[in-house]
Amino acid sequence: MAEGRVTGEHGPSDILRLTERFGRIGFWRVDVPNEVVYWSDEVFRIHDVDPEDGEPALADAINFYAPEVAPVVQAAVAASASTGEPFELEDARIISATGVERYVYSKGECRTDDDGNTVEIYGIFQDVTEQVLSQRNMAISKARLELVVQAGLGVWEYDVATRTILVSPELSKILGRETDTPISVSLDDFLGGIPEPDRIGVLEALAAQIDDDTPYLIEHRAIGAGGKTIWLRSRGIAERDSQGKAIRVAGSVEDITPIREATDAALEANSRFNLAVTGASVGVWEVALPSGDMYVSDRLKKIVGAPVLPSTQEGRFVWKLETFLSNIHPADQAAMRKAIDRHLKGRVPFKQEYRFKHTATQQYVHVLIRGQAEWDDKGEPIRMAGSLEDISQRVAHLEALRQSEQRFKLAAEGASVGIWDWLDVNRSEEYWSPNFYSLLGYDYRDLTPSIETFQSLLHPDDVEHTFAAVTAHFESDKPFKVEYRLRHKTEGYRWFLGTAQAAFDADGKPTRMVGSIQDIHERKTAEDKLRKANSDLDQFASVASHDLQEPLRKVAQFSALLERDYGDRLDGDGVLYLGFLMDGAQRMSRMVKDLLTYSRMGDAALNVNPVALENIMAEVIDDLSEVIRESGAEIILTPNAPDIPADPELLRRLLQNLVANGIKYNGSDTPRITVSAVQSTSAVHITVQDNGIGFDPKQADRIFEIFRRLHRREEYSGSGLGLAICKRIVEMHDGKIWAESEPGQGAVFHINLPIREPVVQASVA
Amino acid sequence: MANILLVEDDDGDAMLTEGRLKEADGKVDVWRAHDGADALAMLDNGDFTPDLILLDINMPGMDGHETLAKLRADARFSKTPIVILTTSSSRRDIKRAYESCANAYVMKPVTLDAFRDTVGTIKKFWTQTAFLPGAVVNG
Repeated sequence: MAEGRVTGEHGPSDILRLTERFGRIGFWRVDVPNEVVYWSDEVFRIHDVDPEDGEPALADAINFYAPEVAPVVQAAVAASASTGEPFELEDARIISATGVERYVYSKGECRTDDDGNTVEIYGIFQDVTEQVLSQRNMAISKARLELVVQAGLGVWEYDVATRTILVSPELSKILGRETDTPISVSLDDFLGGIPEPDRIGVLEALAAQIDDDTPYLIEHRAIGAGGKTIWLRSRGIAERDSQGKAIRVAGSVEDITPIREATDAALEANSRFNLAVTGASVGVWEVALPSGDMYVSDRLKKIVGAPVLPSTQEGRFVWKLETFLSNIHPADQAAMRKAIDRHLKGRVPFKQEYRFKHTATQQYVHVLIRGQAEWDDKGEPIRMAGSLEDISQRVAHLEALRQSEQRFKLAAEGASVGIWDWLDVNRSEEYWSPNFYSLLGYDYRDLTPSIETFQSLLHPDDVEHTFAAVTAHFESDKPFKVEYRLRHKTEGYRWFLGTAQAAFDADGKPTRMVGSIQDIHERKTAEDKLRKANSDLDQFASVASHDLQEPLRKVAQFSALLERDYGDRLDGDGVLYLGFLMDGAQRMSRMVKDLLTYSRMGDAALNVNPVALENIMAEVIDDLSEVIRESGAEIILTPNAPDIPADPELLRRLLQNLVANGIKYNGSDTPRITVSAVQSTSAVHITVQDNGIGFDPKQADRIFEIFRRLHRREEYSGSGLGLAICKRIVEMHDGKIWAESEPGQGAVFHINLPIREPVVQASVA
Repeated sequence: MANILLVEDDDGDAMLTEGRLKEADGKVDVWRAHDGADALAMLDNGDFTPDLILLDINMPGMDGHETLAKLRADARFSKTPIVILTTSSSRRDIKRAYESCANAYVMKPVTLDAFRDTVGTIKKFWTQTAFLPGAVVNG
């Protein structure tokens, strides 16, 4: 090749770089004797490894390949090294350093020394992920198409974005064109083959499914082979993206011309008919009225399994209508009888979907029945005839599709979440996603997914409340959100958060439940450790302060006795000493009592509910009535306050402390305290504002500390615990409290309390 | 002279109590026992018959509950007025004391004045009941 012409001014390294960047091809080299690997930038990128970190060792480089591929690569490299022959890897799966799955193509050649030993293998490395995936998607689509085609239906796929329809060969045949590949037509062309007024109906039904998810089921005419008008029944369901927008509508079509013609013919011929019906799933029936003697075709017998009765002539009058009707599913019976009635009396068209119990297999079969009666001159029905079709396959297909779509959507939402699907709540079998197994450290072969297995994995102490939550969800639709422990294969019990949603039938009975599990073990054990530490501390504080009371009592009482019995024998200093002694004991006693109160707060069970602020403030004002009267204080609550998510008793103490402070630290003749509350989406914000002496904003954090006082004892009494208690109460509710002030300008206390859903909790003992 | 048996391990509390009893009524003799065993030994010695027993709960060795049970089981003291005088505010202690037939359960107050009032009330109450039929009185 005349390189100079092509490369021009660019040197070889430029060419290399361009090839890498534009062609997405990387280069690599293996120094065989030293087992060292060299990578170009593109190879680094494909592996998600930073070039600064350098190449891995040869063994580690091979381990980027997925577990099923790595041994193959190992063997290929070894073979190449020993034989000197080139090697090639097609569509090999790798997992990058950041966990991304990719597919690569790699080809290498060897360089040998004079003795024929391989000293070097070098070659190219290309990311072929896109090609592999798109081939795979095509294969999936094709497989799906084929599957449905096997059911003997014509299939179509309407692409919403391009407004084109992909038509299967079967459907093309129905429409009169012989072909064995799918054909793509524009929506307009397709509709062109549908005569008016059916065309509008099809378009409307399609739009209704796309926009409102209204089931797409429509019978319409079309132009078939030889220009003949045929009748088609078309069903479809939209595939939606994660926003619920329809991207595709997939559907099936059947040629129901013979059925339509059959019922018409029966009507016209006014006699029993004996049609050769196309389609293995359609049977024909006729019943004489009012005798109820029924004739059914062989096909119909096959569908619903007519009993073997001695027949008179050629299978006529095999059944009585009543017997036939009694095989209908009990839930469908009433509707069926009503439909027959309305047709016979009110001539309402008779066409219904029911479930029939197959007399042989005793399983229920989904069928579609159509029929038409004849009346005599007096208006009495004398005969009714029609068709019966087995539609169970189609129903099952659509249902399976919907099920797997739902599961997929859930699975896409997170890798640290395991999905479970309780397919039928009346049975034990479940589906567990691969993540579910791996979160529990199991391989899918280790466990059979079922309710029993789940129960055996549950911690015995959690079984009761977990299943109680299931029942509550089934009965009152209470959201299922439970914390429980499951037994990991190697790590013992771990905490998980289980959430789920059941699906209900028309009677409100649960049919299926789909949910997820999320590992919350670290968070939970940390919370429990914290809770226990707090509880230990509380216990210690409680016992300590109780034991401290006793010597304090001694000091108080004996110094009082000393003063009483020997006070007159003391000089001025002696009296002062005694005074300080008694005062000190009194203060200490007060602090110990407050400490006891503070430490006991942790024991109280938290009972968080929406609480009316007016009620709490009424209690606070009542409890502080004397102080309020003496100080002439005004307590104002701004109207229309939202409910406060708090424990009522603790909220009362919190507000009482703040209001009492507002009155105490107040020099004016009319202390005014204003309490108000507003609600945001996730929390309630309370403010308590006063017109008191205020404080230095630099102290804003310290005032909440235990025993922290900003003023001298002589000026304002108080233990220094009030605000610490307020802070503790707010923190017990997972809220926040802070204060704003300027000296001489009053103070505002802010409290933020989150609104939250109750979660059923169990804690480590 | 009325005889009051004070069963109290703490010397300070004993001194306080004895002082208040004497202030409330000069005509009392206060006998001090250091714990339950000591009290029973003193009673067996027979130097006096108690008109009133003041019993602490938290004492080393035989505590107040055990002492109370033993006293009530003894025919000589099954009807003697016994008042529990203790720092414990535990509901369990209160319940147990009444179940063992203590006549009263009094918590030692914190301030001197209150302590004085309490002891005075106890003394007054029991001396009055001394005149009721069936009460054991001596001297």
